[in-house]
Amino acid sequence: MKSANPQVGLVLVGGGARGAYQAGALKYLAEETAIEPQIIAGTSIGALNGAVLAAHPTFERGVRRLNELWDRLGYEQILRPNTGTVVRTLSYAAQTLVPTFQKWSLDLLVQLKLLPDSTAIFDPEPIERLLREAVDLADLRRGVELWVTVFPALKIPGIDYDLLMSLADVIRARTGTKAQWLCAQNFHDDETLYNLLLASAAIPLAFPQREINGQFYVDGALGDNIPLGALAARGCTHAIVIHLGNGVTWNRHDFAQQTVVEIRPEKPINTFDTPILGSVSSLLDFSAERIAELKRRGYQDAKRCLEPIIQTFRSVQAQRQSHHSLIDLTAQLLNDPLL
Amino acid sequence: MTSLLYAHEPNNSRRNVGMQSQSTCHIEELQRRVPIVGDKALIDLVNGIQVSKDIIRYRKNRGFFGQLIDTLDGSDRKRQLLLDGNLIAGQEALHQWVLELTDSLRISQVALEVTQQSLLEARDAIRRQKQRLQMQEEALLALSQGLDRLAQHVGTRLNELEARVRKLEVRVAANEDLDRIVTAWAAEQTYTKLPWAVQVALLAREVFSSSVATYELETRDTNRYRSLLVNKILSTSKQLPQSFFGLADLLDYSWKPMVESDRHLSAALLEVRSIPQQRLQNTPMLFAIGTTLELATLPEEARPSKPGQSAIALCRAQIGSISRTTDAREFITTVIEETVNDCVAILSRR
Repeated sequence: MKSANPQVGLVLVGGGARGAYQAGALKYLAEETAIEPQIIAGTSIGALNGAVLAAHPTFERGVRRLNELWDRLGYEQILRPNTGTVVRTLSYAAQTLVPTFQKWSLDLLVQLKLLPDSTAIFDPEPIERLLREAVDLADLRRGVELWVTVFPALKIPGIDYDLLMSLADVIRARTGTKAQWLCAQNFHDDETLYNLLLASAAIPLAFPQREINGQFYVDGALGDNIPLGALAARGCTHAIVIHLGNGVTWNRHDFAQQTVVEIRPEKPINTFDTPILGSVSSLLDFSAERIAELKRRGYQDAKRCLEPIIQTFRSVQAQRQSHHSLIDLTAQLLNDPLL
Repeated sequence: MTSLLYAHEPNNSRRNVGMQSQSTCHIEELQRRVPIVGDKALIDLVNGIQVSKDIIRYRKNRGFFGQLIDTLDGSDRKRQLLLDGNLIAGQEALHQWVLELTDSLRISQVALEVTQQSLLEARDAIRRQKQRLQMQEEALLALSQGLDRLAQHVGTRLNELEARVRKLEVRVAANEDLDRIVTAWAAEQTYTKLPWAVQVALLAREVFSSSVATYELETRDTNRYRSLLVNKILSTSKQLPQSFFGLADLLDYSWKPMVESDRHLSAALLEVRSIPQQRLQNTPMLFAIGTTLELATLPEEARPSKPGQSAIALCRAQIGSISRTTDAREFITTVIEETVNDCVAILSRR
């Protein structure tokens, strides 16, 4: 349900399996503060986390449910290699090495539903199933306003979405093609809405692109991993941004009208420090130990970031109250008739 | 945001201070001019420190290839700019905060000055009040002393008046008793048919057994009623001899005309045998009269021929000297004096 004038928002950035960190940070917010977001914007795993939060009547219940889901994820095989991609790769090799091998045989297998029509590395079925189970779309439409970041994928008819297209999308993102913020509550068709949520998490190559109203979309992180702009456009004045990376170059001062609290990981969040590989590895590590560790760190970092702010505001407020009290009493003294 | 991060403590409600003075307006005008550092600036300051720490930590921990990549893709420069931006924003927030605190401090000092001024005024007022109180206390003390003196004076006066009233009461009572007794005697309602010497003794005893004795005892006035009674008896009695006479003769002449019953009654009333010796020492005349009557009541064979003479002899022998001759005034005066002294002595011993 859209709020007429949302003031307090939550920004959940993308980061694959590192999304467990957000569950921990949100747990601290729900338990130790009075924050009740009126609007949520998310990208990739942040969008999925946001959908779970938005589909619950209260922030506290949404956070509890989100943490339960992440605990479950550690014991489910959420990432399953796509057999179709393996067969397709072998087929391309056969076409190259065995001239008599015809492409029509592969297409026949797809048409007979014996082979999935997808070039993604991972089978999207487990994550789709989990999403349908975790998020009731009717509740979502009634819930907190949710904005999802998606990136419009390049789709050339006749060319399968493969590594080349993925590279093209990355280049497009780097050269100025902007991500789009779509409001979940604006979609009334269930499949389209599920596709929207899944599109935001459709990491190029890892998961298949999604079609929404005739347009194909992939992971919004390509264009805008920190969608505070969506909240700013709605007039939101206060936001909490939960990052999933170290040394993120995002600049809060780009949003002069918004008061932003950033929760950033204190320790390296990647499983190891090798450039690119470390990041990719941490994106896909859904092990139970890793999830528990990320949740614990998220909680601690949220506490580390918010406690000084709370303490500062307490001190400032106490000082101001004391000051006002002094002024009031002085005014009373001045207006008191002389003896 | 502050209300979301933690529960607010209740604001001190502004009290209505009524009509505002010029100084109040001044201090409120100062208050309005205080620049309040906003939530955003404070959060940028505090949260910016953590962001900067994260950036610095990240840059420190980057390996060679990481640094190379960061340099090549420009992210390192972005991080540097981010640090600079946070530093500037933090400095601006601090500057705003310092301004707020400085202005707040200035207003607090003005308020303190006002308070001190009021305190001095209050002290002056208290001091003046204390002086007034001291003066009032002294006046009260003087008034109290005056009242004490007045009370003492009034007390004395009251005692005097009470004494006077008492004296008057006693005197009135004495007068009334004297009048009543003497009038009754003069009207011959009492002691009729008794010889005048016995009448005098009985009358004196009756008079000085009444309030008249009390009057003498309280006022020490030993003259007034004694002489008055003497004069009244002298002026009233018709039996009194006009010249000197022998006491023994008077006594003997007195008992003879009395009937037996009167003799016994009178002897009983004026008897002296039961009176202690000490009292008898002061009442020789009464002793003589009483003894005469006592002797007169003896049977004729036992009675002396002249009981009066015998009584005087006994008196001289046992009590003391007594005049052999006298006149009416002297006799009456002596009887009255002895009776009064005896009665007063008895009363004073009670």
